[in-house]
Amino acid sequence: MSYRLGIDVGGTFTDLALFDEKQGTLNVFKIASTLHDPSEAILSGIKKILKRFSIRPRELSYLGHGTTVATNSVIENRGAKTGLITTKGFRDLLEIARQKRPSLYDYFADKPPDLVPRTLRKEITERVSARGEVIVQLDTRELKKIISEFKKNGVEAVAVCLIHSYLYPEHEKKCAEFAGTALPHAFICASCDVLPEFREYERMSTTTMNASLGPVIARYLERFSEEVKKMGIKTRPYITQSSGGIMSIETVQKLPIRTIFSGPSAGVTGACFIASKSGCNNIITFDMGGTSCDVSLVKNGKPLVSTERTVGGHPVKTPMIDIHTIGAGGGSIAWIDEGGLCKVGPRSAGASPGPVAYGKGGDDVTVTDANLVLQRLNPHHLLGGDMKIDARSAYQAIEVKIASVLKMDVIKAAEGIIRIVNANMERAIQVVSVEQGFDPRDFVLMSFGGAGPLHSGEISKELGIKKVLVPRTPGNFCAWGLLIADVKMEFAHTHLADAIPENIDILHNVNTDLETQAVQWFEQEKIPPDTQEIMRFLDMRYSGQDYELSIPIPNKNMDETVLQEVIENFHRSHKRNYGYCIHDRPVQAVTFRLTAVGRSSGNTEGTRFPEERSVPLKPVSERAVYFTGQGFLQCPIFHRDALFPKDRFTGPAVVEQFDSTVLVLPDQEVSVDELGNIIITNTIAGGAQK
Amino acid sequence: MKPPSIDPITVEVIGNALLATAESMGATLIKSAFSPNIKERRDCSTALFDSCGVTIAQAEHIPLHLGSLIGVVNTILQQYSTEEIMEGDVFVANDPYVGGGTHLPDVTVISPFFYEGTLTAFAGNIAHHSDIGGRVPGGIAGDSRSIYEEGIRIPPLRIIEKGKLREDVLNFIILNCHIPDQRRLDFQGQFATNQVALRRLTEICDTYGRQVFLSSLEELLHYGERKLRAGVAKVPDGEYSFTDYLDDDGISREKIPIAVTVRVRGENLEVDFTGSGDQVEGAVNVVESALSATVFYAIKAVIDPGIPPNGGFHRAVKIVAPTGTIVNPSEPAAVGARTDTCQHICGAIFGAFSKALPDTIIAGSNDASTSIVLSGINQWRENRRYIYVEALGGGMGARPHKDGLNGVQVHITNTSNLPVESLETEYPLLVERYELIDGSGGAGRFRGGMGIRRSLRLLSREADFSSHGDRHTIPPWGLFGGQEGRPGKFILNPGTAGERIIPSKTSALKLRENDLFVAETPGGGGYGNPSERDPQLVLRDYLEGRILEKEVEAIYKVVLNPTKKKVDLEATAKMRKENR
Repeated sequence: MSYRLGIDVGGTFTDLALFDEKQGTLNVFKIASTLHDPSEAILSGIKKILKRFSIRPRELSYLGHGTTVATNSVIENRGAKTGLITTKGFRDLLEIARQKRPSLYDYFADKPPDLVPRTLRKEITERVSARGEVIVQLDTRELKKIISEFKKNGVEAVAVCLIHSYLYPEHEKKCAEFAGTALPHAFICASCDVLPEFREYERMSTTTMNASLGPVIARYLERFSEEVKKMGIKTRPYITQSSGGIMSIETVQKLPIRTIFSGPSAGVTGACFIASKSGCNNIITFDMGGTSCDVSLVKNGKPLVSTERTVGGHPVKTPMIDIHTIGAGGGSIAWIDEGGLCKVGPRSAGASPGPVAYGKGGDDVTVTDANLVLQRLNPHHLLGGDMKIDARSAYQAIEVKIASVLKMDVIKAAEGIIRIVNANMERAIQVVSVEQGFDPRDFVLMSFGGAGPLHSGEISKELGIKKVLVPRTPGNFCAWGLLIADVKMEFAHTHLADAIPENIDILHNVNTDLETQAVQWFEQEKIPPDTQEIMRFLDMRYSGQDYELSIPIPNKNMDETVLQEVIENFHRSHKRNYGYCIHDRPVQAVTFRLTAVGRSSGNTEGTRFPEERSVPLKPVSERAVYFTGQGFLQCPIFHRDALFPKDRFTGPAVVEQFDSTVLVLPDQEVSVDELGNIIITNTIAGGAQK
Repeated sequence: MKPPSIDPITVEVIGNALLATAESMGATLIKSAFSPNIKERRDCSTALFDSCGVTIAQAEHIPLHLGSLIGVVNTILQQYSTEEIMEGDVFVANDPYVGGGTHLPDVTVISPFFYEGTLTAFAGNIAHHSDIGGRVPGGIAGDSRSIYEEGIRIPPLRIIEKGKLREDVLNFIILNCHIPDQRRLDFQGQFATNQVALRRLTEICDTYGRQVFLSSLEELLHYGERKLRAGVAKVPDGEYSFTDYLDDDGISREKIPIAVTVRVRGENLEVDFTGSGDQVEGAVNVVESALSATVFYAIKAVIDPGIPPNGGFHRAVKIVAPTGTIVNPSEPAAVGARTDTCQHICGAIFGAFSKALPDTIIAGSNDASTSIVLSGINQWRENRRYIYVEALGGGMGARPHKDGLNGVQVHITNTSNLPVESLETEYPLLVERYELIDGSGGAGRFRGGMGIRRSLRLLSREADFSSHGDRHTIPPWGLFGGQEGRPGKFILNPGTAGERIIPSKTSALKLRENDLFVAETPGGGGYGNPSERDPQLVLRDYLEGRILEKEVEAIYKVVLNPTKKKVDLEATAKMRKENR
């Protein structure tokens, strides 16, 4: 019982990472994803990896799974048939949204498709005031009628979202209970359980989406766990969530919405782990794959978190790592617009047809093609020789489609494509750093994803970032991150109260209620006491303001001293985020938050290195690689497997490995740390690309 | 046209960096402002200008705000010589006649950007302050008769001098407002916003050098101009005219023509407002900067939404507006409610283009900016004075090949609503309904978007009400056989003995405890003949309650079977044939 297995499903590949806890060895494995049914690739992947390493299924002590089933089902509009019950007068909230049109200038742009058709958005007589008092009693006779209509229409899921339910959940609970009894096979959820926070539209959208995902996720997970069990795997699978932790299948089935942004989150979890082991607590993660680039900021070992984002045009409020995603990757397409300027992305050639040089029928110039022309990528083969490359066709495509139109040299055009995609990604990094009040120069850039290490050298230099860290398996990093993820659950409750000593009791009680919920959850998830951890936060604002800042609060009973400390922290945080604070203005407590964590037992740093290297470091070959401002320079090519802790060399150089390629610029220095991470240091300050 | 003096890659990179700067200014402003009107409703904008005041980048917020932003930089440049403008200075202005503004609540804050000691660009932001003093809180009552009723007039003023805030100037401004402390905090947010821009511009110049930066700006402007001209060249040459009408000016009950003639010759475009009504006594006059911003919005939307929002394309559009008319009034005409007119100007320009580009133009939209202001004392909030401002969306006109969008802001505005739960927590109001209005979209082969109903009950003893809006008597027009949308309406205490219709442009109305105020906004006009609409879509709209039962046969010529769940195809075909 000593193997941990992580499985991450991407758009192109399903990645597996297997860690042998006794031997301390890590193995990675890739299999083509099966988009029509992701579990197909997962199951055959598990079978293959177990067979290859002769492991019996019951020897797996942990199984972590990252899935995008929820995300895809929203984007592709394949949610379950859902009915909505809401307060009388508000059935169109979902459709009116925030009354903004989707595009400022393009009046042909459409709003996202309705999550629930108007015929299934039902109003019920009831009303709670902003002070939490019932003004109009719930009419249960109407409820009966609504449910029977749902039944007639074959509704598979019901969402209940009533005005001010975060203050008085009883009406919602009654509706949900009633619906649950009358429709025993439907998935039922109430907004007071999904998101007990104020702002009705966002809460309704989140709750409705949770409902429409319920049956979809249940079907997927039931099948998945059944198949896993059939294989003889005894451990219960865990699923990644948007906030970076993992959760049990039972929890996911209740709150599928918590997985909606989980795609890139395991990578950030992995990055935090590596960062803390390597002694750098402040990092920016830079994960560039085939179609998208995900960036996030980790401060003091903890990722910045966020609570709201849109998916398929619908807002979702759920705890999540604040990951900023843009359409920039190896497959991003370069094109010339009507005004004669070169653009890159957001459209991607994806895995199929892929870049021109892959010879799979792609004829649009991609970032990968540009990297090949500049010989930054191996111009003959990729994936450790598994894939043949036709660099010549990439050259011709850039010549015809870009260079001749711009009346530029082909090499210059290829360089230009890289500069544009880099600039887009630099902007993304600024969004997570500068716009949040952080200076990127104070951070280490952690670079992963298949294409990340190829671009991070130039990007770090441009942004003035001194150090870049490339982990050992950058291309399989998310699957690896799954191996070390904590079990995690977030609780929240909105209760508006002035942050004053007179209200200590109220503040204390809300806080204690959340703690009770957390204790129950620990029991239910069977989390050993020594791995339990609780973190508390309070969303606060100045009175009269209507946006809050989340402030960490200490893990002790709320008293006057604690409250004073929290208020001080709020002022400081306001100053950092918004540039000012107002000491003499009353502060309000709005939403209490609690994160309960069961710490992972995984010790999964990667294959240990032998004590001594047997052969001295030597490049495997040499090739001319293009560098901005310097043209083609003859470069040593190293193989990643041959690198050893304490190795050092200076750029220009290229490091090739199965799942990625690392580009080292002429004035960058490389060292390999104890864990086998590549550390690239900029010796000359930024602003190279004039 | 000058050949590009700099490679197109660098231009693209710098252009993106400038847009990113404008966008992150916008994010900062929304984050750092204090009042709900800016933070939650996002009634604010940001932009960058070159050292001559030409727009080089504008964030996608409220198109109309561009007017004030351009206007203010220009008036600063007229009033101060470049030697007088110092590094660290910040200017503020709002006056439509001498300060480049479009109405008084929109206060603009402009910072010069110096690089290596030389004036290189300007950064600016604008925020709609929910109160700027004046006769009625909010300053946007549609029935004001002169600019002096609408609030404090601020000509271009240096509010920060070489980095030092002039407290005396700020105190003077906020003393003239109804809720001074909120104004101070919003101003702080506006100042912080420009700081972000100055930092980013410095970084860009550090990377590329001042000369490359300046050449890129020039090329970006050329690019904007080229894109517009390329788009105009595709429009058939000719003169296209359209006249739309405002219901009234809030004082008299006479309709006011907004006449526009669009002249296209090759790649040249002229927009001429000769024939529009004289300036009016009420607050719906549109000053020059507001007119330009409105025309620029409409042209970009019609010709090519992908044109970069910069001064390059602006210079390729010629605007003619006779002095003394509603689209170019003389001082001291009131302008607080100019948005309603600007919406009609867009509508009229769209209408004119519908004759040249029938396949790309939408029917008449809600084309108003239904705005209400309630103010009073909130007994649940330490008896603090409050001012609640809301601008409601409505129906978008039906589009060629598609229905219009339901319940959205159109044209030159795009503000958010205030969440019901947020509103009820902050103000002594209860929202009883917030919904789309059944049957409000104009019938057509493609249906106009539905208008919005918002019902507010007053929970405190009394409140002052003011408003502006339009299309309460003259409905949004249909196109090519499409029918008109349903007009808007304000009703006080509907269904009671005290039921009363409230005019769209109102002030000095006192609401009493338990009064119910209902705002209904206009639906969009339809596109094409309703009897050509797909019968299945008619059925769907009927089942979803979007159209009224009586419309099904009478207007759409669709017959449903007795269960009313299916279309009777045969009977429908017969009815449609008979009506052809």
